[in-house]
Amino acid sequence: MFNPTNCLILSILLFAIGAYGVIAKRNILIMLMSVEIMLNAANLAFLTFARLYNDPTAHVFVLMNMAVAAAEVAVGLALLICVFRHKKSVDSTKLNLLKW
Amino acid sequence: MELKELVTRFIWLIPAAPLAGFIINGLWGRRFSKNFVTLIGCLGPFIALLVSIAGFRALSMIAPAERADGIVYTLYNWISAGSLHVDIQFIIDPLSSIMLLVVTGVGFLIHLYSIGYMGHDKGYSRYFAFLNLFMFAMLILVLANNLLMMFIGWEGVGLCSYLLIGFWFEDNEKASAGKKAFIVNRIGDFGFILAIFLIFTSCGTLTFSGISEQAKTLAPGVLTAIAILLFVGATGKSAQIPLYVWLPDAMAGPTPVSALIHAATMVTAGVYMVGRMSAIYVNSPEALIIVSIIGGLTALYAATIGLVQNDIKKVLAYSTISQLGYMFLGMGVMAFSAGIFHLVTHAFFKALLFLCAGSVIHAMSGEQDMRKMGGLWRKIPVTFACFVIGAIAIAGVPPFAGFFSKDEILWKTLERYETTHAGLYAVLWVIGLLSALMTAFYMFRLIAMTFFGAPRANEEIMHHVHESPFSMTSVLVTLAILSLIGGFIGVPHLLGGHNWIEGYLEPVWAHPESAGAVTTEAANHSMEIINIIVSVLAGLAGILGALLIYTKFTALPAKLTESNSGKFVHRIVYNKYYIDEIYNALVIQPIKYLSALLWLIFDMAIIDGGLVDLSATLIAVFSQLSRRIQNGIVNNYAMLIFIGAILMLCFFVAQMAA
Amino acid sequence: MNGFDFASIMAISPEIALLLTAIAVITADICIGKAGRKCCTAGAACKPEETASSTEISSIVMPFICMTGIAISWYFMYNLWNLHAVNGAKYFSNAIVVDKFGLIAGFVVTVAAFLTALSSTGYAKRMKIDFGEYYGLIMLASAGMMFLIKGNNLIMLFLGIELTSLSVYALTAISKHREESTEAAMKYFILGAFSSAILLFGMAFMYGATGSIEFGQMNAVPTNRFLYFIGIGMMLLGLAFKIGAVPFHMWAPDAYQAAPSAISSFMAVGVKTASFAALLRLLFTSLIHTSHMWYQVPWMLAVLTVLLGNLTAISQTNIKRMLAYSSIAHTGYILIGVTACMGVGYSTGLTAPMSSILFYLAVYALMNIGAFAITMHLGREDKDFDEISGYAGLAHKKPLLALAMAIFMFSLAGIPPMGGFMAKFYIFRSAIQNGYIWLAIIGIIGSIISVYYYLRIVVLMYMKPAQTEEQFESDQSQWGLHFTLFATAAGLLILGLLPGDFVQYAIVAVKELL
Repeated sequence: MFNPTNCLILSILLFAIGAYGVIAKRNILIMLMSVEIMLNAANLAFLTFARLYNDPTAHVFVLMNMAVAAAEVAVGLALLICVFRHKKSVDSTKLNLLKW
Repeated sequence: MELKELVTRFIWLIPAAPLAGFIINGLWGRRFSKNFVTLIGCLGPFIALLVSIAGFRALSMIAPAERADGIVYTLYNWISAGSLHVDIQFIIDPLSSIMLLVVTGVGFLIHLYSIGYMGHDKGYSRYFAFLNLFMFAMLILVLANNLLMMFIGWEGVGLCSYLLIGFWFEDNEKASAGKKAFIVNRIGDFGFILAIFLIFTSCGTLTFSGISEQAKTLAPGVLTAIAILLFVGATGKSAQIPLYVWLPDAMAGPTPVSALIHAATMVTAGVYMVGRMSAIYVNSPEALIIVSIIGGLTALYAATIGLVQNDIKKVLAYSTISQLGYMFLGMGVMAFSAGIFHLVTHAFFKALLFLCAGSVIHAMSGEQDMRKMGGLWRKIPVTFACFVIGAIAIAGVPPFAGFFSKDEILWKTLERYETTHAGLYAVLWVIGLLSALMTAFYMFRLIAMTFFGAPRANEEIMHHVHESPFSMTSVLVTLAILSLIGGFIGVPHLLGGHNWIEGYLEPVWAHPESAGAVTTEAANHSMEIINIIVSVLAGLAGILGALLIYTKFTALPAKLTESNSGKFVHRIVYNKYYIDEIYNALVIQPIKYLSALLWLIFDMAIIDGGLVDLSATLIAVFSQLSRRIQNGIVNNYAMLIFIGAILMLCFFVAQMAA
Repeated sequence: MNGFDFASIMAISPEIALLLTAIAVITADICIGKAGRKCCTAGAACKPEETASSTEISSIVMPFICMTGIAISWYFMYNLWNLHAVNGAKYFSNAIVVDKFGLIAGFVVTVAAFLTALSSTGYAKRMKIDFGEYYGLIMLASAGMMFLIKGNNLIMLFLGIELTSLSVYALTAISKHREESTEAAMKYFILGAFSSAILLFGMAFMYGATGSIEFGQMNAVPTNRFLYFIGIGMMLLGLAFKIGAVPFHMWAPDAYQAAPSAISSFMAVGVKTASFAALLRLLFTSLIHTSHMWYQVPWMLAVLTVLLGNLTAISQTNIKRMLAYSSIAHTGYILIGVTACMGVGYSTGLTAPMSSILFYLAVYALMNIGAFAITMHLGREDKDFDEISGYAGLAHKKPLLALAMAIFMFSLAGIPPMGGFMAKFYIFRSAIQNGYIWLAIIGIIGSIISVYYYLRIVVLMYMKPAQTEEQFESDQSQWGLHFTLFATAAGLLILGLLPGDFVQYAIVAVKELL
């Protein structure tokens, strides 16, 4: 049943999708979600290997990651609200005060 | 043992106390009252003196065999970069303990003297700050246990000398005298620093003990190169041929500065350094010969110039150069103890002479030309008496200090006559004797012109002539006593003494592989007696000659210089053999033209026009381009990160394939 | 040692002290800071004199709580340093390691935090920053850095990075009424989260390749080289982002420019020190044995970082942005040191480059904090003094301040006798010794370029007239800043003139790691 290669390919795909989202999307909200997808891709990879090695430490790692991801989203959304108050927009290309 | 531990713990105070004085007076001196500035300024050297005395005492209690290792204190691990490891490490061994006593003792006395001498100067606190800074640098130089630290002190005293020569910097001539001293010293320092590099690359260490150990194993060529480069440094600092030209000009500074820096301490640093590096020198006979020849020539050469100078401080300046030449002569004939002995006595009597000259100048309202003096002895009797004591001491009349040390150097030179290069040492001995004669002559010429005869100054000035205040005369008297008795630390065995200083310093010196002198005791004794008699006679002859000519037959000098040949010689000698002019024509002007040419060709045409402008423009263009990468769109940044990731992964994949 | 025994608690006592301080600060903010806070943000309803005094009190009390907490953590670090028994000992199922390397790096980080708190005494009030969050986040970030430095497995590495980063994102946006602050924080956050995800993905692959997440255990010969190299590559990328290496540096100029100067310097120093320490620990416990196959990566990063950082800094007109690019360039110099550790037969000749990296980080901390403190000192209202042209004539109006700035600029440019010179000297020398001569030459070219933009400020200060009469007047009492400036300038001179002992400490520290 358990096929590590397939799981890994899925995780790489998820990672690629997330990376694509961060690079190509202009809506910051979607970019944040894409980052979450990337994190979960990593988690999936961890779990795959954990299953492979029959090792509980990686499970602990994944649990930690989920907590961290939650905290990260909290900070990210708070920042997004701050940005929205100033710009009245969540378009990443509008963030162009600072350059060069 | 207790004292030794105490001293070890407090060695750092010796340089630190004057440094503290410099910082306090330098930063806030202008806000303090004059008395407080004086207190701070003198306290530092005084503390240093006390600790130095304690250090000397502690060292004396150590068994002579172990003294050479000295009392060492590591303050700080300064630089450790691979094989280069340098500590800030102080050492009190016999050599540095003697030097410490001289520097702090004479230094402290001169600080006291300065209270009266500089009392009315508006730069009073600045003066004391600089003087303290000088003490700090000089003490670092003396206490250093490695060449790099010594070099720091070496540069420090050079800097202070520059600052103090140009102390009255409003006067353009004095400021440029400071610059001259600085530049000429740089030439010498260049030699010194090359020597340091050479020592480090060949020995792998910079500590004195390490160098002593390694010196024997070095190739003779390297040794000689090191020794000569070191000596180039010494000629700069200690005003020897050919780099002596800055010292006479350095007399532009305040007289106590001339006494402290340009007579007693800093200029002897070269001698001290050669002594420290004795291990290098004893293994390089060629370098020793060069040192002794330069020393002897300088002694004679400067003495001849001293004969005809009319400025009271210039006479003393040339006398200093001449005496330094003596010390190097002593070093060159491996009479290291005698050289240091002469350094000590010279510090006493030359400081005394300078301070007396300062007292005279003070009394004469700033006049320095001896032709405008005369008949002063009644008006300033204490100064006069002290000056005479100093002059007798330098002339080498027993039992004054100069006699013993000078005699020792002459004797050691003569002793070398028995070894190889007999002719050379005989000539050097004669040169030394001649210089001794001339020294006695010009010192008493100075006395005769200044103190005897009819007053040649105008009424106004003569009316103002007065003895200096107690703070100055007390210093003069102290130094006069030292000049009187200072020689007894080195009474030769022949005269029933123990030559204490030679025995005390002996452990410090390195010894040549093959012992040279093989003459019998008896022959030695007779030779030594002859040497003493001749040198005393030379001194007395000089004294009597000068006194006779310049008090009884006052027309004689004028007649001599009027005569055709006499006039020619006098003009050349009076103008210091035109050395300044020759240097100017041969060295300074060509360098100026060359640099102007180089400036035109390289700086203007190639560097400014081509390289600098071009590269500056290129860099500016690149800079403008590179900042465009940061275009403000966060997605692009993420893209760049991703591209970086892809490139990195490509690299790793390529590595895997390989 | 696996349990929560006393020794384990002592092992993380400095971190505990910092975390408790963070809690204390936030509690204090709730108790005394509320009134002032309302006034700061909303204005209106509260009595002016009451709020003013409340703000005044908390603007002094808060940094003092922080400094006390840091001092306590120093005490614990000192204890750990002296307890030779625990050197290199591991706690909490080998998640935490206590060694002298970590303690020194941790000391640098906490000194940065201490100076940040000290210099913020008047500054935070002037910038209208909410004290509670501000100081609390600084403490949390410091604790995160300490964990990052001490972490001995990938979990601690990741948690440390995240705790640090999340605090720093928020600190960047701490002046939330300023548009560019929030914008910079948002960008920093997106990129940071992106790189964290990449780092985590790399960790997963690393785990897959080696079967362990513990530093000492990952140096087994990889079972799968594909997984292993992808893992290394992505982890390197994540850390390279945190230290601001080109081409992962894009967040740094924005964040440094827009954050309050105190935070900019804290970010530059703290994050960089902690990340480099973690990178070194990771390298030498786990990756060094394959480094001969991929040392070209840090080599390339170092070259790009030195050149691009220095080049771009030249054309900046904002001093904080210029310092940001300069900090990127300094990352490059340190990367030269990192590269010098690799490729060559490891275990020989590693002491010199690694100790020089530690020394460099310490020197960099001082000069960077000092330079940013100047922009804080001269700023007015809620702005930092960040226009480069504004520095013209500073030496005539405020000679001491200009002198301090000159010391920082000389040191950053690496001119003797400042600490920056010795630091660069040690780094480049170790690179040459280990055979990376070209790398050292590129580093030297980079620092020659850098002389241009650092000395431009010195020239402006000393040789140009001031633009207006009153532009250098500051309205606040600035004793905290004065002390910071004095301490950093004096420290740079001491490190430049007397580097010996400090280098010895660094050598002792890294020897334990090897």
